[in-house]
Amino acid sequence: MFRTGYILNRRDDWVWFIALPFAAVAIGLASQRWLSAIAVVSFSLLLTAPHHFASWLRAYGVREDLKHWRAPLTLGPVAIALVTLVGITWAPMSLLLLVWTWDHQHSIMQQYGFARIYDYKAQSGAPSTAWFDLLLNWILYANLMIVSPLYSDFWIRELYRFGLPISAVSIFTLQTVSSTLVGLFLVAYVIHLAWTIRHGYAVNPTKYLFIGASYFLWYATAWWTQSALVATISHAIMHGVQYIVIVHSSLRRKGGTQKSVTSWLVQPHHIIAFLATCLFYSVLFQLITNQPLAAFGFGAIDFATQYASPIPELGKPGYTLSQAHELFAALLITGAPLLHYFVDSFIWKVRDENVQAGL
Amino acid sequence: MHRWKYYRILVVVYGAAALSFSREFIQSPEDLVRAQVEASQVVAARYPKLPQHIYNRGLEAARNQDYQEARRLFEEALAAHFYTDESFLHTYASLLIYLGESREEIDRVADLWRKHFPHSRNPDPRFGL
Repeated sequence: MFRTGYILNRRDDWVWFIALPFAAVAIGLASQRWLSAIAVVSFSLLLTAPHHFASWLRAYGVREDLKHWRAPLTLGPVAIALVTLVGITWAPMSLLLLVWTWDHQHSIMQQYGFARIYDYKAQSGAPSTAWFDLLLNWILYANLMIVSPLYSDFWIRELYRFGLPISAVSIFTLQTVSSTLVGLFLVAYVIHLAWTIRHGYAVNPTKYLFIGASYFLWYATAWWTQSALVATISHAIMHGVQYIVIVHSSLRRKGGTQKSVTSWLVQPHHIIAFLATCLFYSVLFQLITNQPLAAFGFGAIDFATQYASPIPELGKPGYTLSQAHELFAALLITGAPLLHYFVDSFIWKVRDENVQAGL
Repeated sequence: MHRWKYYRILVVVYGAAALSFSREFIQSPEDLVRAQVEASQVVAARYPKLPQHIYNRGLEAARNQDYQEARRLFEEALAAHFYTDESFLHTYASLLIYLGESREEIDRVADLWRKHFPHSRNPDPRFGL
């Protein structure tokens, strides 16, 4: 009846796919309590941007896959760049709506994809299970969007923008219908599960723990906290980390025998180099987009804040962002030679045996 | 997988974008503002306790020159950890200055604005006090 299968292995799945969403909610709540709102950007830089890099590595970093998907991997960026350029120029709000919608569809499909891997690994589920799982994910997620106070604001505004006004009473009715449909579908899902077992198909309990943990994160942050900050940070942690983990594992298993930069990066003993490359991508992205590197620091390190308070008695308005950058640049320009002087004061002492060995 | 299937999602995206982009392109700014105001009223009626809407009600009170009510509502939004909207903290600090509150009280809110939006290009509301 039950057949357990794991995406990675028992220990790693419990860490990355089952416990992580709960830890992510805790980190989101702690960020709201103790960190500045800039933490949203910090988490995005440390997780979301690296998970994009992992995506490029997975798609473009394996020679055989690149050859296999050459056409979509070439035409895709051109098509995306075109629609983005048109949107930014003539319809920025619609572009935002497009990004918002595709982002949510992408989130649903990632969790659905992991659920499929669980069944694939355990050789569990009936042929119809994939379809039921897809419906389960779409219905639970659509209900989250329709009913939760955190997300409903966005689609109500969009309806009005499209000339489709909806009253508060109609919203309440729609939300009640949505919740009822979820209840009915969950009953149908359980009946299908019982049918699956009765017909001799195995069920992978880890898959359900994973789905439960994922939806705990989304529902808890949307209802319980109703905080965009907590929801964004928690989601960034779950979505970004799980994606990086699956890319790392997939590339490692796929390219173990190949001699390429990608297969070198994903070797287990090169994990630091892999993470450093992810981080380097984020730094590069931040520099190219002319955004402050201080955003990596969760708001704890920032010259513009630490020296920002104005001194009205002196007519000083406090540091502006560009002045803060000048201060940071001055620190680097002056600090780098000072560090050079310091290390040179001991790394060339001829009486030191370590130094003698290199001479 | 059939080759065209790779492009299915792009076709959907382009179709949705064409509809939405053209709608936005022909929509007048006045219609857009009216739609947003009406939407705000409906959302606020559905979720009156959301911090964003408490802040919006505070703004409305300030527009009607009921500054003490605005202050009360801003404080209520602040108590709900509403730190993700820069305009809220900046406006609240400016209101406290306008009301002639103590320096400590002004600093409490202005420092929160600085803490949460260290890269803001808005001038510090305390400058010129």
